Amino acid sequence: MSDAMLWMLLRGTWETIVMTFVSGFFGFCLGLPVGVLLFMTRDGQMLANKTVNRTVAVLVNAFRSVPFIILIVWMIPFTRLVVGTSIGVGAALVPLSIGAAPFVARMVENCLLEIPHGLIEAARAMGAKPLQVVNKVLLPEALPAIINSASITLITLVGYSAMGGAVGAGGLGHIGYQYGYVGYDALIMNVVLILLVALVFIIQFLGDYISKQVDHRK
Amino acid sequence: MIELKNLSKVFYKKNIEIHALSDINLTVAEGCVYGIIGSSGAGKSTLIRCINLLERPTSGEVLLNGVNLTLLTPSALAKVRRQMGMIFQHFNLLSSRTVFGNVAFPLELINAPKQTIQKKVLELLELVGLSNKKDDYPANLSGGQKQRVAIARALASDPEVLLCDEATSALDPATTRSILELLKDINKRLNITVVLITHEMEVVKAICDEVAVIADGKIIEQGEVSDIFSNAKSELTQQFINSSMHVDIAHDYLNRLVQASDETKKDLLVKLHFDGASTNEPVLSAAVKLFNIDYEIINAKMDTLGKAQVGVMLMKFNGEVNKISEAMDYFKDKKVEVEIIGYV
Repeated sequence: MSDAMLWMLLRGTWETIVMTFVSGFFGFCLGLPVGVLLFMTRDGQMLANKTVNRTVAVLVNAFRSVPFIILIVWMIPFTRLVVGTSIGVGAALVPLSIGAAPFVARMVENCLLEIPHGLIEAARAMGAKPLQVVNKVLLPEALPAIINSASITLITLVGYSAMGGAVGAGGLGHIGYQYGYVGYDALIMNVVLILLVALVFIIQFLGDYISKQVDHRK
Repeated sequence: MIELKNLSKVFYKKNIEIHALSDINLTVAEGCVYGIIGSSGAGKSTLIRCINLLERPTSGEVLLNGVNLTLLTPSALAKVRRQMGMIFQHFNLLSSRTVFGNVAFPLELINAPKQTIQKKVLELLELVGLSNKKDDYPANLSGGQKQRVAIARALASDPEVLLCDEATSALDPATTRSILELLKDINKRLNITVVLITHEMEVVKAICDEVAVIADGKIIEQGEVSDIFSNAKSELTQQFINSSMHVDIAHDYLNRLVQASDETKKDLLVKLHFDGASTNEPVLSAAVKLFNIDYEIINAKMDTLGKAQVGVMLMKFNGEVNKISEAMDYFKDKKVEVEIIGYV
């Protein structure tokens, strides 16, 4: 393998990491509040509101059902508006974040549903306001589960980021496809695969470790 | 201090009306320990949740010191709730916080300064006897310790009222006693009014001054505990009292038990129920002298409520057959209920 190839793989790894973690971060910034909103407006919860809950749920489902490769193309005008260009890593981050957000929202909602209802009741009985319940009860109590969801989200994003190649964002997936699959270079393809597998393993391991550290239930 | 007026709560399940509470009227005086007893599904959980409006009553008023809570805005209600601590059957401690963090929680809600929180929390942990556990997480505590933390947490906002939702139902008898003692101590020392719901008459007997019996969402009897015990009007109340006066017959006896006496089995096994109507004469020793019989107490549960002797005794009588039956009639005369179990 040539030096140039090595550099390319290195750059590809870096691009994949950037795309995964940065879009994961923005995906959470968007998805977490939506997930909390979905939970809090549910029937029987503190801010129960059927209209809001249904509207948000429909939006979340709509975005989740768009195939990611189509989302990238469909969002080009918006992407251009936000980052000024429709090609490169920056351009891939926009659809990746938007694609991850509804996924994160549902994950977060599910994590919150796992919290025993008695805890919310106890907080209300102590005179906690809705925002205090979210910050002091829901999020801290669901933290171990949310961290697990974060590793699942990041791993999904590793896969999604391979499609970033469609807008010239590069990344490992793109190299594997271009040089390995199209160019019949089995070595490159296998190295890319090993790098991706390693990345996924590292994310899963770190996620499990951190989740265990913050979990005081046992 | 707490007054419930014509309180009703209706739930809808698939368009079917369920009357969880109907027309409840209740007054809890300041400084008293008020028990609400009922079977599961009687509406007692809903009732206690109506006091701090965790459940909003369908109609009726909830008055705390004369203020109608149902009319308050959400933020005013949040403030009032701080005057009412609450503890639960399953403790409801935050698993993500240490013991200290849990007790500090209500103080954080009102943004109390750090030093105030530190001082107050340590004081409360001292009160409930858990100072040495302050950095432990709830997962490492026993049930009784968890409830003590929950009590400390409920007291952190200096409430006037403590609401206890089946606070001892998940605990073993010895722990139950110690938690009840703590509640009584808090009631006396801090002059905090305690409202508790339970399905165990033992709990009512142990610490309550007044009691209300609830069934099918209605209060069927209320009054001072000693009055209710010595003079229960409804059958349900009597059942609750009896269940707290329950004695078991050991397997050994049950195996040997026969319904008619014979050569080898001449001893009569009976349960004597003293329900407060019986006089306070020493009927037992009188019977022994009158009819020249022997007795053995196998199991007994007796209590003095007000002036009345209440309880049940499982006894074995030995003597001439006709003398024993005369003795049983004598007991009945003295208003002691006689339940013949058999011969051993």
